[in-house]
Amino acid sequence: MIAYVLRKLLFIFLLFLLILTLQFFLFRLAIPDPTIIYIREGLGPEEREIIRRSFGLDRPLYEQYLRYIVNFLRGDMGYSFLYKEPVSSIIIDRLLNTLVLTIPATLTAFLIAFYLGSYMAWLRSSLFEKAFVATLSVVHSLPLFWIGMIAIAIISVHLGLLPAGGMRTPPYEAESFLDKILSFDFLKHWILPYTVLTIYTASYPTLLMRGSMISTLGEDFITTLKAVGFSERIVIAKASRYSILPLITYMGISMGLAFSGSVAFETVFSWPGVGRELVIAFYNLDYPLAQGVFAVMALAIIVINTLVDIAYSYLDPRIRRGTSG
Amino acid sequence: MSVLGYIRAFLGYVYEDKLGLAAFTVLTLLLVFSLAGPLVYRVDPHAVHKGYEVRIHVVDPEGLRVRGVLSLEMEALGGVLTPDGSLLLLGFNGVLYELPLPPLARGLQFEGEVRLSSSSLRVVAENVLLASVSHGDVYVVSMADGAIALDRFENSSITRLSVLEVGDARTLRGVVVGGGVVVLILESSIVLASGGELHSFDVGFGLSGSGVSCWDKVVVGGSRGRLVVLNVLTGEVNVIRVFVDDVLHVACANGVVYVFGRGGSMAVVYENLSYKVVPTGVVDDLVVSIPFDGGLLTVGSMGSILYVEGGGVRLAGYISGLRGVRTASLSSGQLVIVSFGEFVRDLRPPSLEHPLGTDYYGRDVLAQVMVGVRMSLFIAFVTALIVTFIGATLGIVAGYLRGRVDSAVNSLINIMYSIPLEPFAVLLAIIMKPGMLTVILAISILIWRTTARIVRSQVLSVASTPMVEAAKAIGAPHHRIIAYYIVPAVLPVILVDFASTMVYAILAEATLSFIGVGPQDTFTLGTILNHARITGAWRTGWWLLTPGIFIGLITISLYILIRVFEPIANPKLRRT
Repeated sequence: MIAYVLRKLLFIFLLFLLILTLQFFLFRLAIPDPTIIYIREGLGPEEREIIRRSFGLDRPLYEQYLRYIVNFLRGDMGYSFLYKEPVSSIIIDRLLNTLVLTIPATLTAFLIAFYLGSYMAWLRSSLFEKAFVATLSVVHSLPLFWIGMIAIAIISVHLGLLPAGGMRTPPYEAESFLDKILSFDFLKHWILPYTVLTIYTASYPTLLMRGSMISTLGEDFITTLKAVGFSERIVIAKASRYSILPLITYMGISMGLAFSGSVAFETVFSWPGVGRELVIAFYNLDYPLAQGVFAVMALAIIVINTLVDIAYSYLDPRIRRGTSG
Repeated sequence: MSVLGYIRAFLGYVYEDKLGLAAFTVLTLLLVFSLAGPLVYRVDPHAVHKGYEVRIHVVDPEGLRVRGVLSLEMEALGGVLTPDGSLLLLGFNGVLYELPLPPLARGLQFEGEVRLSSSSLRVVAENVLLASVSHGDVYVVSMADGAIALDRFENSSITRLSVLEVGDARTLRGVVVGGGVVVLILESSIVLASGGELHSFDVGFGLSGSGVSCWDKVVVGGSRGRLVVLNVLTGEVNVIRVFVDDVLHVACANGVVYVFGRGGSMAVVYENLSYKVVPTGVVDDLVVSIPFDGGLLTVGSMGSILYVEGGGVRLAGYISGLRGVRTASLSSGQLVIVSFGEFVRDLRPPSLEHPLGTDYYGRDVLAQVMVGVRMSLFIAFVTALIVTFIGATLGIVAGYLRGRVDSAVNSLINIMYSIPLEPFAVLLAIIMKPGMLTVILAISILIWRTTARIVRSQVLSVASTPMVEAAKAIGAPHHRIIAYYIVPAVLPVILVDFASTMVYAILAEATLSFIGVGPQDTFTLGTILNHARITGAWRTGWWLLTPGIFIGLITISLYILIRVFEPIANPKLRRT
């Protein structure tokens, strides 16, 4: 098991290295001179050379590449053009904002999916169940950002119940992350994106759980349990425990989707997370910030995928043997 | 089986399933809508729609808060607000209409914009040259048998005051009635009518049409700050020049004449004809003044509101959204500001003319959606083709050859699974530039991973069937086995996966275009939503959110078709 985990860690490292390498060469290929944003009219060739040298662009490409990789791995992702601040400190701040939305939403969504999915499998073919499955399918077929727009238009703008975006009412200056989120004002901003994200995230796993549960309910041991005379509640509880595996697989994918989906979702809710930061970096051509956000998101997804793999191999030892042999 | 046979089989399966039939119908209708729609609905999605309009803003004079807006589609030449709360509008055909504004007169409060229909207009008079307010009374000047008639408008009816034999009155710009005389202002001359006699004075420069009777004189504004001062008692005419731009209007209050000019220029003229320039701090054309609270309230054409008292002026505020202000009045404690001209028809809710309304720039949303559905389907189709090609090829090769090739493809799939789509697309857009190619490329580079995985596992199970084993045993070459045994066996799965990829691509395209990565010169369903977001108009303009419904229609229909064909393509999924 330890060897397996170590191999996985090495895999994470190599994969991340590969992504950084791709990123470096893609950018260098497309934008040969990143200092273009610093170079203003009227600067002579000598000044340009000084700027280029201060960024290390006069060195050979392999040296730039090595330095880029080493700095990135040490957490130094350069300076943001837009904020004139280290990219890493911006990303840490925004990452916490993203997580405070995505982690509770994903957890709630999967809890809902587990219970609602089992329950709906039990109610199979009833009118209520059919309507619910149809509703969930529709929610799953719509773009998340659009559902967010509808929610804001109805609840915030039309009814005026909740703020239409942001994390705190401006002007606001946070002293720490906890100071920022431990307030009623934050809760008022948080509840709408949280609810929308939860409903959307829960839609597909609920259907997944329902399908898995329906096939479990057809198994022989369920018939036996019923025949023995266990109560309905106990039968459902037993069956749902056996049906949970597809849900766990999907949870990893869902966390990854939450990260990449945050780009559009946070833009709609003006939520100052990593996703919205990427859009800001895109509109302002802030190359270092965009690269940093992308690398961090990719790393997060690699780590989550690996964690799911490890959890799965813990649940099902055949996988562990399969990869080592 | 021939192509026709395949189509017949497809339609047969669709026809068996009620939901499937509905989904197929919806997709067909959407295709017809987007392809044939522009032939029927010939509106350019890029065209900015404009129209002549009269807009009436009702404003709270204290806080300068807009209480509501009335608007009427009409090309107006002139407009006058009467003291009893109605609006006289002069059309280009010389007909003077009365528009009663009862809610304003009664001081009712209302929110938002109310559209009036032209049926609320009542014809007052014809062959009208102009209508004008002079010292609280409304006068109407019209053509009558080569002469001009001066009428007074009161209580919705007109009474004739006099007929003046003025030779050429087509250039009439304004009329001043007061102090027992009538002064007609023409293009570059004025006519004084007193006691049945006419005296004409040619001044030799352009007059603005605005005049006022003050002291025992009539003061008329002209171009470049020139004023014509006519002494009513002696008939003496003086021209003085004050340091303002073209005079737009003059007003008399507290024993002085205020002169308002273009670009926010202003001067005060005293009875001895000495004057003082007053800096206003605004650059608006100051078009109208109304008596207010012992002074004057002056309104600029772009919505500046000045409060003028004594020799001083104070900026009272600015009403946003006002353009082309022509006249204003204060009645029942409400400031009524009338503007007219050609306005962009922006953010119109759905109507017969624009079934899905217009956007922030006054462009037709339905025409955009027609293009959008077409472009979104096109992008999704091309993307799905590329994705299916890459994914199926790699999946078949990896599943059939196994060994090193398989593990290499598997690693590639794993790498692709670690790259998030939206951030990758944003990065690609930074490197290349936003556009259709960027969207197609970003989705196809990543999403073949799912196809490859599904096809590979399908090929693995097909490749171990006795049929393939037998073909290998008799020494059939790889390409023959793949072409004759593997591909036909996995083709149904590939086709169903093609539809799934299309669903994914539709949603991905919408999301990517929404964050600004999509095409900039045409419309997709995502870019329409992106425009709505950037302009901030979606929060109130619900019709700007309709592209989402079209996205949903496409994806749900495709999902239903997938559900119909999945058990057929992959019998393992068939459940009893």
